[in-house]
Amino acid sequence: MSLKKILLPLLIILAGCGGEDGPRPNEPTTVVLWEFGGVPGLRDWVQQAVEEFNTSRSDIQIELEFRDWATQRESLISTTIVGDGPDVVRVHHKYSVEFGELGGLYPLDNFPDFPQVKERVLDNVWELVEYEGKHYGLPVTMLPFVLAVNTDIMAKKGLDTPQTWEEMLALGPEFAGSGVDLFTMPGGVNLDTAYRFLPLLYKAGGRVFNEDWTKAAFNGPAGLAALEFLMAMKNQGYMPPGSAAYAFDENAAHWATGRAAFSIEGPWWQDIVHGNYEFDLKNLALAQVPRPAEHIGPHESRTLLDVIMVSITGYSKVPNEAWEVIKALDLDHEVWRNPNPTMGGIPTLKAAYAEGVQSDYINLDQLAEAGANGLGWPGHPAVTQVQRYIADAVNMALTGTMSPKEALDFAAEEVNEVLLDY
Amino acid sequence: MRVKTQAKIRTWLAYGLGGTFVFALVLPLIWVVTTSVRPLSEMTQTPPLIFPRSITFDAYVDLWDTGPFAKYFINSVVISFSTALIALIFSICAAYAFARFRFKGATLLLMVVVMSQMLPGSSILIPLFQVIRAMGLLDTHVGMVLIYTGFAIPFCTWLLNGYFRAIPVDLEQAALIDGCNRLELLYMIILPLAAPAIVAVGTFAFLLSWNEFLFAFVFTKSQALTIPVGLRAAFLGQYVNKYDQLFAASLIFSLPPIALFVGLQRYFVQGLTAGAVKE
Amino acid sequence: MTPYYFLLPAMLVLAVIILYPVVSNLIMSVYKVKLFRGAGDEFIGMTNYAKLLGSRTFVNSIWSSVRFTVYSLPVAFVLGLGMALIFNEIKKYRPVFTGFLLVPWAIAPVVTGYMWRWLFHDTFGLVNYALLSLGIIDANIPWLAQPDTAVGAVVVANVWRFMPYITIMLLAGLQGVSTELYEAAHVDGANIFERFFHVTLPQLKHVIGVVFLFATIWMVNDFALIFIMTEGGPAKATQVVPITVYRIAFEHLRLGKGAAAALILLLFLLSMSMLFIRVLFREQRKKADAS
Repeated sequence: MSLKKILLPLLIILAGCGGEDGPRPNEPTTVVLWEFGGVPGLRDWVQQAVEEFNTSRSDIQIELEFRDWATQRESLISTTIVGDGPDVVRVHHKYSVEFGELGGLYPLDNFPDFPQVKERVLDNVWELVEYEGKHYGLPVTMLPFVLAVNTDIMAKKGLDTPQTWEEMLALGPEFAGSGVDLFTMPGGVNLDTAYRFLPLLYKAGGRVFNEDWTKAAFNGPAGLAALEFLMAMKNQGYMPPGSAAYAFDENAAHWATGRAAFSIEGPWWQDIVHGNYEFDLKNLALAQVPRPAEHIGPHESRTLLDVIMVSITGYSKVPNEAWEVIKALDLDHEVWRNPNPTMGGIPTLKAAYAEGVQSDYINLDQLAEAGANGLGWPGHPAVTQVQRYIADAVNMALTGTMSPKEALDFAAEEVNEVLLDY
Repeated sequence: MRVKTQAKIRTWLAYGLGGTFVFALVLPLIWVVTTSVRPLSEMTQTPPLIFPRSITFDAYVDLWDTGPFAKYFINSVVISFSTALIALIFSICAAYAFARFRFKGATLLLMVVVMSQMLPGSSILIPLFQVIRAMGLLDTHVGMVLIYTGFAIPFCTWLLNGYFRAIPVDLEQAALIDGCNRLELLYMIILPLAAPAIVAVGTFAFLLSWNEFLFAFVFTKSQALTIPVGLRAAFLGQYVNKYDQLFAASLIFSLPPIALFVGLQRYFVQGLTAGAVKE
Repeated sequence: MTPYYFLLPAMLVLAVIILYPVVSNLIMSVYKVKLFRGAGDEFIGMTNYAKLLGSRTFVNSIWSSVRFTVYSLPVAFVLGLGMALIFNEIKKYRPVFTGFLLVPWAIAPVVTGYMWRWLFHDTFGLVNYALLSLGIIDANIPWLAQPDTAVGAVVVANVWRFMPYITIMLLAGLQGVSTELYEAAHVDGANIFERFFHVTLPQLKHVIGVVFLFATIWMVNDFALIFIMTEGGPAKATQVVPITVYRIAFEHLRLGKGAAAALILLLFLLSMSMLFIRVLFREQRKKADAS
């Protein structure tokens, strides 16, 4: 009797609450945006852009949350399991494969205006956010790898920037005994080491995996040649002896204090060397990462590219509004038409590289060239583990503990075992 | 005579050698201090400059804005204090039970409790991760306090047990006859008498939590991140390598442990050597 | 009734944080634990253990742990003993001396790690600068980039950190040696060395035993210091077992295998502790029987 009195109103209330599915008329839709990581410049811009958006529009309101870069994967996992979370996320492109497959991300191809949007972004970048023919994110910033050159050192020695590995090795004797190294790189037990090996691997035509991602391929002829190239420089004293222990910051300190001519870096370099070490940017130039004089293959020569994408979550209840948000912030916003060194990467819009575009970037053309020919790490769920094994291999070789072939083969064995699980 | 001068020489030698050695021991830290008060560009000079050419306290001011360092600091303070408090309360109660009551399995239980101090962190790291994850306490203050309390209880209980046993039972027996219950006994009699041990034990729990790295590293990602992990995240992040701030922050972070250790060294030594030196 | 109420909160926490994980670790080690991909864990018996013992990386990390401890402990002990003997002679202002002495031990291992990492830096580090100035070396040594020197570097940092603890313990032990014994030896005509070896050291046996036990356990378990200094490199030369456990479980996401590795470490430490304790208590029992 009294039970019914309680239950009935309860049921009515519950029925009323149960509908979060869809905007009520005359109320703005909320789109929840999670920004993972990001350099300060990017964060400041996002904050501002979201505020501007919210003021100017009454139909959609953005709820912005900043999160740590390191929490991306865990966040995607837990929200996908629960089926509830943000609507839009800015994450690394590698998650397009893992979470695209699981339904954690929404395929943008569903939107009718997607083909027009696709046209406005550089063509080669789309393959990095693709899985089984569908695209799971809008690539917004890209980080191509290039060769950072200290032009002051080069000018003093009267040398030209090398284009092939052989040319670079030939420059070595000019540096021996001068107190300045030819080349420096992070070679310690960290992911940055793997990120210095891969550009060389890609340039030589090698790849990380075989065609169907069931076996490692980085220990093939191209990979071996790349590692032997590095070892040639190390063994002849063209690299700092401490590089086998360098993390990113030690390497930056070494190069930015004028102790090395070359390092393999990307769009972040300008900000880092100037901001932290007061490096005179007049002496900075970027060039393409050298390739072997004779192409090794079996694939074509590419550059390494990292891409940050903005995606809609698969469980989002407001995908259309989320798409509007993405287009407004990351496609149409004017900031993307001007490459800006403080945003943590260069834009992916074709319009940003059109004639007459002004930018504070040094050698933007080199970055753009590298980007246009860029290829990312394979988007396999276990790619971080693969990166670690590769970093271990490079470190083993650099310390002379294993020969390049041994080191790469050992890493390939471990990777093959990991791949069995997938 | 000869013996007297011999003794004098010994003493002077002791002071001299001791002083020199202690100075040499602390030298690296002095270098850290000088690094924190010089501009970053001076750090990358060769040969390394021993005395700073220009002194600036910018690092100490700026570090609070670099990354969420202020948040990490608050996290460390909150988690460490909470751990100390809760570990103290729980350990005092448990130690009292061991000291004053006879019950089945008491000796065995106490031995197990004591032995668990020697457990390698790595042997509970992985399953504890699953447990905390299942409880939804990953990256939370509650989770970290729970973990650190668990780490602190064995030593705290053991030490307090020893102290409590040394307190004569007569006082409590008199109070019992007067009608006090056990809790009142604890509060009014035992605690004041065991104050030194309680201070030592509370400090131990605080420092265990304050300095801990491995579990904070694995179990926190951003919300409950403490300074040891934060040093890495805030100052040596992907695009940032501010060593002057790193060392400045490290020094600030080291002040509580140094102050506690040096100030309370008498109690620490007592606690450490109890059971080791006794014959 | 009452004892159980008093015991409950502490025991509950210990059950969750210590007891359950230890048991769970044992169970996990015979499974292939799937972190995310849905399906349940797979029972694989001793496969994890077999793989570990056959893995070059794991076996090397055991050697790294042993090497690390065997190099650090004697050095720290000798230095600590020397310091304790010296401090024993310092009567006035001793707390000042011990206060400074305790600082390396009070500082968090993380901070110690960063400090020594920068000190051993090949270009900007003070160690190379000092050695160069003193003429001991004629070129910068890339300490952390070469396997052998990296081991040396972490050992130095470890000794620096542990020595205070050893000194304090031995000092307390020295104070417990009754002066009568010294006087008796003096009367017997013993010189300083004989006094030291025949009176002091035997009296300190118990303290030394405890010190060795705890120091070994702490050194073998250590993660933070080495991880910050070298992350286990170069070429895994300093990758001690705790770091290997971390890498297996949290970088390669093989929780079952990691649990097995952790268990091997635990068993090793347990058996070593048992041995130690038996020896120590045998001494005590002998003394008790004798008196």
